[in-house]
Formats: sequence, C-alpha cells, structure tokens
Amino acid sequence: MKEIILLVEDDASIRKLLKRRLEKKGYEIYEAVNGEEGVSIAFRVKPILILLDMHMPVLDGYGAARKLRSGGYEGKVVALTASAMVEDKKQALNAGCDFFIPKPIGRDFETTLEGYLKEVHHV
Amino acid sequence: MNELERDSFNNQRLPKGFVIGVLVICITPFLLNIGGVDFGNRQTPDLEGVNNGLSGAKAIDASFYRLSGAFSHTILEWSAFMTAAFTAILAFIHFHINRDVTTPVVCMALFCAGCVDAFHTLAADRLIDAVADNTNLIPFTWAISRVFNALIMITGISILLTKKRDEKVDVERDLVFVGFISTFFILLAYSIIHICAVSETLPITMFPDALITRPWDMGPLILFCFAGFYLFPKFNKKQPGIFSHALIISMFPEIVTELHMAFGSKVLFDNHFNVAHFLKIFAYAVPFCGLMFDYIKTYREKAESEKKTGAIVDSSLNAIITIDKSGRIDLFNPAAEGMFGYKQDEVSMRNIKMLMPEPYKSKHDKYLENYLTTHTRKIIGMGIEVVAQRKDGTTFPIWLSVTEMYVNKEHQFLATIVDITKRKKADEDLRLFRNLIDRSSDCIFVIDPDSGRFTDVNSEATLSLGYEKDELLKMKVKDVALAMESEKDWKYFVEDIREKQQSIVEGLHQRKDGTSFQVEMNVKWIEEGGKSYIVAAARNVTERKKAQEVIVLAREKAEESNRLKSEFLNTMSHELRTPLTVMLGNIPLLCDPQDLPDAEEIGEIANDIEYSGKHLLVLINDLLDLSKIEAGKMDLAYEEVGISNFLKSIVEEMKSYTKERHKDIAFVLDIADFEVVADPMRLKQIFFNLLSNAVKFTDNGEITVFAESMSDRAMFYIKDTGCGIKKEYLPGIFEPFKQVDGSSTRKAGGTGLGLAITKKIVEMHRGTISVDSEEGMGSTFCFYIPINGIKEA
Repeated sequence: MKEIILLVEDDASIRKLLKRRLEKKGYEIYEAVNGEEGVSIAFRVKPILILLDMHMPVLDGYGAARKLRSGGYEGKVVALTASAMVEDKKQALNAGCDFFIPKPIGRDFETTLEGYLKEVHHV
Repeated sequence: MNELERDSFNNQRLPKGFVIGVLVICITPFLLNIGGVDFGNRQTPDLEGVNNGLSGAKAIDASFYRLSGAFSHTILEWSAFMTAAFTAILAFIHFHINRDVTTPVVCMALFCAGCVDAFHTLAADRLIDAVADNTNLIPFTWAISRVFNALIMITGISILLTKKRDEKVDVERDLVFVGFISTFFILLAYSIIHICAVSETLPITMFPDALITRPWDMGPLILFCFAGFYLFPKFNKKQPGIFSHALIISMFPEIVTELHMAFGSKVLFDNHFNVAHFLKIFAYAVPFCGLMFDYIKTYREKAESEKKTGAIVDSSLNAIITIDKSGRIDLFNPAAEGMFGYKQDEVSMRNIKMLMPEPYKSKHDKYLENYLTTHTRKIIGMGIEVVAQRKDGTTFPIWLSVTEMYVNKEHQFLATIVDITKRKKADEDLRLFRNLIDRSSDCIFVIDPDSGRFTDVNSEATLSLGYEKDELLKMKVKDVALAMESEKDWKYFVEDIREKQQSIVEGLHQRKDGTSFQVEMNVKWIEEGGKSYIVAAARNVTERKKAQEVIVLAREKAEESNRLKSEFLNTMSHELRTPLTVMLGNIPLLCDPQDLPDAEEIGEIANDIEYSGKHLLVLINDLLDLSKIEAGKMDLAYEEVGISNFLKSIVEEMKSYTKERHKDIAFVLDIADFEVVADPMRLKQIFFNLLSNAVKFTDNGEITVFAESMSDRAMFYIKDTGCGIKKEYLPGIFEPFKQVDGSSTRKAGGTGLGLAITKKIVEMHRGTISVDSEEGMGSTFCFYIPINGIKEA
C-alpha cells in the first residue's frame, strides 16, 4: 500500500511539479485546489501527510489547518508558503500545522518530508 | 399698670406731695381747733363803749378792734378773688400755647365765681351800695356766691364734657367758643350781683342754734361732693391732664370750707367762719397751681423733645441740611460738616448752591423758583442721584432726598444726603465684571437646578444660539440641549452635577433656526447665599471635532495605506516566488543522470520551466513599470497618433495571439479616423493589456474595438463577450493584484498588474478609465483621453 500525501495548492504548475517529485518517491498523490476541497479529501482518503499552501481562494491554509485539527486529523500538516516572515510561521503553527516550508523548495525537499514523517509527536 | 403707663399717668396728675400738702392744710385747722386753737375774731361787745367816753386815738383803736372781723374777712376774700383773677389770666396764656379749650372755660368760670365773691366782700365792707343791712347781706351773699361757684363750675365742666373731641385744633372756633361761654357766665354773675344789690330784704341764712347753722351751705356742699366724686373724675377720665386732676383736688378745700360753714359758723367772723374763708383761697389756688405744674410739664416736655430731635439730627450718619425758600442754609448737622468739609458757621445763611458743582449750581435758583411757583414735584418727596462738591473742590456722587416742611410758619426744605461714592464704585466694579463675563468668548449660562430654567446668560450665549436674552430667560435647558428632552434626563443630570460638584460634559445645542452644533461644557454646582445654581460655560467644539475627525480619518487612511502596502508587498512576494518555485522545483528532477524521467516528461518539464521563467520576466517588467510610474519616473513622449492605422495593426497582432491560444474570437473594429496626441508606446501598452485581457477571458465570441473623437477628447472601448467579472470584484479591478484570484489570473497568463498599470497610464494622459461587466455576458473597458494631450496651462 502506497502512503498517501495530499497536495492542497491552488497553482496548477506547482501542483504538477510536486506530484512529479513525490510520485517518483513512491507516494500516492491526491490533489485539492483550495482549502475546502483539501479538508474534505483529507477526511476521505486519510493521507499521512498534507502539504498545505497558505494562500488559496475559498478557504486559505490557516482555515484548512484549523478545520483539519478540529476535525481530528492526526497526520502531519506541512505549511507550504511563499511568505518567509516570522509572523506567518507562527500563525501557521498556531493554526495547527506541524511544519513550515518556504517556497521555492529545494533539492532536499523529499528528505525533509521523510524526516517529518518519522517524527513521532507534533511539534 | 406697667412702668410706661405709670409714668404717663403720673405726668397727668398733680405731684403727690402737693396733693398731700393740700389735704394736710385742709385738715390742720380742724385739728388745731380740737387742740384748742381758736381763729375767731373778738366779738364787739361794747358798742356803747365807743359811744361812751372813748375819744381820739383810743376811739379809733376801739373802732378798729371792733371791725377786725370785717378786716380779716376782707383780706381773706380779696386774696381768694386775686387768686381767681391770676388763674384766669394764666389760663388764657396757657391757652395761647396749649390750645386746650378746657383751661380758659374753667378759669372763666372760676373768675366769675371770684367776681361774685368780690362783690360779696365789697358789699360787706360797704364799698358798694347795697340796700339791705350787713347782718343778712354778708351771709346771704356768701351763700349765693357759694352756690354760684359750685353751679358755674359744674356747668362749665358739663359743657366741656358734652363737647365732642375734635381732631383738628381750630383756633378761631375755640376762641369764639370760649368767648361765648365767658360772656354767658359774666352776664349770669352780673345779674346775680345786681339782684343782691338792689333787694331790700334778703332771706336769712344763719341759724346759730341749729345743728346745720348755715343750711344754705348744704347746697354747695352736696354740689361740691357731686363735682369732686363724680363729675370732675369723669371729666378727668375723658381729658386726662394735670389741670383736670387739679380741679378734682380743688374740691377738697371747697368741701371742707362748706363743712366748716354749714356745721360750724354761728356768728360772723367766728372760728369756723375764718377757717372756711381761709380754705376758700386754696380752692382757687389749686387750679392755679395745676396750671403752673402743667406749664412746667409742657416746658419740660418741649425741652426734652427738642433735645431728642437735636440728638437725632446730630448723631445721624446722613447729612441733614435745611434751607429756607431762598435756598439759604439753616440747619447743617455734624454729618454734613464731615461730608462737605465745612463747619456750620461757614455755611450758615449762605446759599445751598455753594455745595453744588456745575451744572447744578447755576440751575438751582431756577429749580427752587419753579417749585415755589408751580408746585410741580421734580425731586421733592423723591430721591435722586446727583453730584456734590466739597470745600476742597472735589466732587462726589450723592443720593439726595428732599422734602418740604413748615416750621414756625416758615416754609423750609429738608435735604437728607448719603455719600454714595463707595456704593457707586461697587456698582461700577460689578458692572465692569459683568461686562467682562458678558463678552467672554465662552457662552455662560446660569441655571436654576429645580426647574432647569435659565436665570442668566451672557452675550456670547445669545449670539451662539440665535435667541435674544429675554427669550432665553424664559427658556429651559431642554429647549436648547438636544439630549435633555425629558424631566428624568434633567433630574439625573442635576443629581450627577450636585454629587460631582464639577463636570465636563459634551452635548449638542440647537439654535433658534434649528441648526445644531456640538459643545463642550464646563458645568459647576454652586451654592451662594443659601441658594443653589448650576453654572455652565459652553464652547462650540464643532471646529475642534471636525479637526479631530480629520486627524482620525487621516490616521485611518494612513493605516489603511500601510496595510495596503503590506498586502501589496505580500502578494508581490507571493507572485514572484510562485514561478520560481516551479522553476527551482522542477530542476532537481533533471539533475540525476541515472534517474531521468522519460523524454516526453522532460519536454513537459522544460516547457514548464520556460513558461514560469517568462512569466517571471513579465511580472518583473510590470512591477518595474508600476514602480516607475509611482516614482514619477515614467516620462511620456507625446506624438500625434493616427488612430485608425494604429489600432488596426494592434488588432492584427492580437489575432495571432488569439490563434496561439486556440480561441475562436472575432474582432470587430468600430474606429473613426482621427488623430490624438499621446505617447504611442504607452498607448499601445494600454490596448495590449485590455485586448489580451479580453482574449484571456473570452473562450469564443466577439471582441469589439471602438474609437471616436468627441469635442475635446477621444473615447475608446474594448468590449468582449467573455465570462464577465463578478460584481464584488469590480470595485478593486484596477488595483494591483486585487483581482479574481491569483491562480486563475496566473492560469490565464496574467500578472494581476496589467489593469493597474493601464489605469495609471490613462491617468498620466489626464484621462479616465472605467469598466462595465456582467457575469457570463462579458465586459466593457472604456477610457477617455484628451485629444490634444496636456494643454499648456
């Protein structure tokens, strides 16, 4: 059984690239174009990790993270955001994200994610 | 009877000592009689002795001895008559002062009685011819005179008792009355005398052997008792006074006289005869003394009164001055001396106008003359404020009251003067203070806490509210303050102020014309003179509030602006990083030669990277354009642009752009041929932006390009039949990044800055741009620019 990772990202080209890279590593990828969609798919397919863009239409990343946590999602939520400011990081973690990766992503992206997956408890 | 009453009562009676003295004198002869003293004259036994042998001096001596009784009788009677005469004279003098008609009437009665007594004496001494002989004449005339005395006294007093007490003292009428009565008495007396003189035989009045030796004296005795115990006291009650009291007391000697005669005297010139005659003198003397005592009392009272008046005038703090009808000063009290600086003798008999400055000085004589002739009261009987002049020449304000009076038949004027310098100064100070308050730039209201009514307001208050002062003084706070409509509101407010004593309150005041303005008031609770007041100083703070509002708005605007800037920066950062993410994210997929994706995928990846790179380039260019415009660094190069050809070539370029996107769109040109002054490169930028947007958001349909010249400007619009724009996005459509949503824009190939740049370029050309759109129907972007570019000012 492949491990499921959910991509919640509104930009199609970014989704495409993430899918390429993660499928190469053997994950099964699900996609959502906004936070609302992301939350509903998450509870349906129960991914082990969710990559969550912070700026999306309909429901942004912060709202999605809160909904996931209040809904009882227990997997890892990684905030993926173009903003690198301290306040945004704090906000993301407060909303319920476990980790925070700024865009653009680098070569070590997959390694980082694996590292996150291995961690037992929430940060 | 209290102290006061006793004092005045005592004043109206003869002194106690005198009364006791009279009583003692009346009783003493009787006591002496008991003690053995005999006052009788020797009888005349040897009538024959005169005729027989005594001659020369001895004979005359014997005659004298024989007539001693007659002599003593004469002395006594004449003394009584003289006393009566003096009493009458004194009475008329008394009347001259006192105007009490009692005195002359009674004394005339006494005098007439005295005249009868005189006749009795003269007849007894044979100094008047009388027909009857002495043995009967003397006792008879005595009896008659006694009866007459009693009757006339009683008559006189009775007349006075019936006379109504008049309020006004009418001198003439009283004199007439006195004269009348007197004449009546005199006639009566004379008639009696005449009868006695011409009668041959007279009744016998002496009965030596009876108990009542002189029965004719019983009559007077009863009459005198009646007078002394009833009539005269009654009169005294009606008209209390020393004289009327003296009349009562005079009855005592009269009664004792009658007792001695009625029961005692047996023969002529005996003990009781002489005692009775002696006491009769006192009967006349007592009223005489009464008059004297009354005189003394009157004089004393007058002196007291004058002293008192003098003391009042002298000690008065107000200046009191009297002048005669020519204006000459008579009375000038010490207070006047102090006030004006003159001494009494310096001003006495000089004209009052010496105390006046001009213009009063020269007018005074005329005023006085005017009043005396016309009797029109200008200041008499009232008070006025004038200016007076001291000895040293300085003037000072006074309050002058003038009245007129008649003193000793002289027409005088009395002036009371108060120096009001201090009072005027206080008034001035108050007026000045009031003026300052009145003209204060704050509106000041004084309010009665119970009713809420304005009890005082200053000028500024009337100006700011548009009411007159008397209008405001009829109004209450709730008529002016918009938040104070109900009684309850007012009560709460009053309680609050009373508790806090002072408070700063904001509110809204309404003018007479209905407009309102904001005020800030300093409100104070004040207790003064036992009453409570609320005093409010109000200031129109409309200006200040407006200024504050402006500041607040400016701050909000600045904050909003900051927020927008942050938002813009955030979005810019996001937009820049997104294509970079695609580029840098895809590259690692191509890095491991051992693990490359298949050729098709490599092609896709390469395309993605290139696409993102290009997008980034466009984005950077747009941002730079925007920054340039914002910084004012974009210069427009104006040229004459032929619209027709210009737009045609642009549309041709767009057609190939459309083909690239595999869209089936028809371009419609509705272009007039004219020239416009603009920057061609920038103008092209506008059209490319608008047209590419139209193409992006129209899948298949029609795009219309319209151009027309109007009088001073050119109108252009791009109309598409695409998906349109949601209403909620329309307001911000020309703002950078503020559009539909980032991803769909990016998907369509846009940066989100195109319209913002377009708008700025239009505005740089001094033009305007607007959008009209309906979701699902399409959008129309329309803009105007001046035909001739920016005109020289």
